Amino acid sequence: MDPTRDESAEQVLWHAFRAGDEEAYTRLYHNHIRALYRYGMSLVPASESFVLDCIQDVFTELWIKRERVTTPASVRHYLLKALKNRILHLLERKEKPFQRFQEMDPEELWAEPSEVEQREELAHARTREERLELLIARLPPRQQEALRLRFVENLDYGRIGELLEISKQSAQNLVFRAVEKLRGWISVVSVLFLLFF
Amino acid sequence: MSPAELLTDDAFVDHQLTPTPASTAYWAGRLSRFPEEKPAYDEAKALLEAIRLGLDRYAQTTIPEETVRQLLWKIQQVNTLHGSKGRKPVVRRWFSGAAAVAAGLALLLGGGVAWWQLSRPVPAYVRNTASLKDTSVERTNTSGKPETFRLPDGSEVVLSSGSRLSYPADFNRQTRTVYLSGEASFSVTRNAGVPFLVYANDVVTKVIGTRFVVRAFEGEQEVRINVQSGRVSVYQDRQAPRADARGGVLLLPNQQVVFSRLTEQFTKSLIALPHLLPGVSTPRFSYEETPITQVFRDIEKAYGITILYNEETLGHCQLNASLASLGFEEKMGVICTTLGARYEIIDGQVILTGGGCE
Repeated sequence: MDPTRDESAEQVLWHAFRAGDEEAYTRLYHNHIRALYRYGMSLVPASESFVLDCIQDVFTELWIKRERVTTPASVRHYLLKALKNRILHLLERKEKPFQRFQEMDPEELWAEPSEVEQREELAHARTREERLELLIARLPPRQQEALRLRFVENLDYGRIGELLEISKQSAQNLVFRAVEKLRGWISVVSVLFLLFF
Repeated sequence: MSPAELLTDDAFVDHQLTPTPASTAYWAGRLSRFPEEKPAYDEAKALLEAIRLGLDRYAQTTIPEETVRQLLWKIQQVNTLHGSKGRKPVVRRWFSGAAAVAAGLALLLGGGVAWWQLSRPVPAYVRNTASLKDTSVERTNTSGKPETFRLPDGSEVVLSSGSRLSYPADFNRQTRTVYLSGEASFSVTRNAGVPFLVYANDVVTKVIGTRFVVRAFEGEQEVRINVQSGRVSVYQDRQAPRADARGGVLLLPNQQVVFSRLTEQFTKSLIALPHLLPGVSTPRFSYEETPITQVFRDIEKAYGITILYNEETLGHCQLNASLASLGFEEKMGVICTTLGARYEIIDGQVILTGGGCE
């Protein structure tokens, strides 16, 4: 079993780390580095080094503040949130002139590809996995993020809401819309690729 | 409950991802009491599996063990340096400022700029075509003017002078692959089942029904691809061709990508003279006290080019001008002069800075 799913064992590690136990701190690092990396890379696919720097900041800051931090109910959620904050904080600082982004609903920027384009791209995908990946890549970025957090990182909707800075209900709505759209697409695709689906 | 409702229910998803004896008992009991829920339950389960499969590449994103080790070492260095002084030490960073803006755009637009760090030496046209059988077809244009001809699938090629194009005898059977040295413009016949690929100086352009130009002369340090309609994806040769944008740069109309053979990097920008998109109704471009936001919307729609600006300082500005007879750059020029702003093109998008309307 994934060690991070055992939340009580994680809490024990966390307590030890807060007391200054470097080994516990290193264990926490190893338990979560992969999830932090893939989540960070999904947010900023363009720059691995930027993501690594942000992860470094999250861990060093944690060490500095170890006596003051509280024990989170889910360490995974706590770290993902800290990483996202760090990434957004750095980007915001670099990006002052373009505040339009923050004000806009990112989904508005997302033009859905035409049916013809979708079909042509799908025709190039060889496996079911590739086709599903393409379909998910079609969704607005926040819907994709919510899917990753719920179905891979296994965070509940309340925590997804906190990460996306929306209510639990809105997080559920994001996934609901994504699932409805995927359901529609999958049924169209399965007609087109009867043999494969 | 519908399948989508089930998938937005933490109890259902938790049970699917990490079942416990209690959750197994709960769902079994529930389904035996309400057998009518079974079809939705099964569909939700199948959808969840499909989503997990589609997210598999994300789930499998791997960080090299070496990086894990190095990063931990750096973190420990910082922690040691920091000690109890309560001051943040300076440690060499992997990453420095300039690229952050690009990273930010990519993040916030959900797109992906990709850069490559492959280090293969340049396999040129000769190398590419060496593997072709004797039966391959080669066209060479030394006439001093462009030559137009059709490929077996009906696609049209305009081959510039000083350029060569080859394709295998079995072109159109499984793929439509051509090898280019020099410059050619392609109008590709739609055939979704058979991908159309252009190999040219280390760069592969994959076409999704479109008109585009590839320029890759052997003596030149850059490969340039621009799109007139439709869209194409471009990636470095020896990269497994995949249909998704992560494997390469996706180009939309009026965008071009330049691949530097020296640095092996792709740079996306706008073509020199962006044109109005075909099939989109053209706005009148005649403005009288029109909010500038409307003007930008018109231009974005007509050219398919994204314009980013500071809505706080420019959002309430107005424009009095007729831009109908002007090209894209002249339109932007008039607007910037009026607003006292400047624009630059980054990653195929227009970014306005400065200006105002006091």
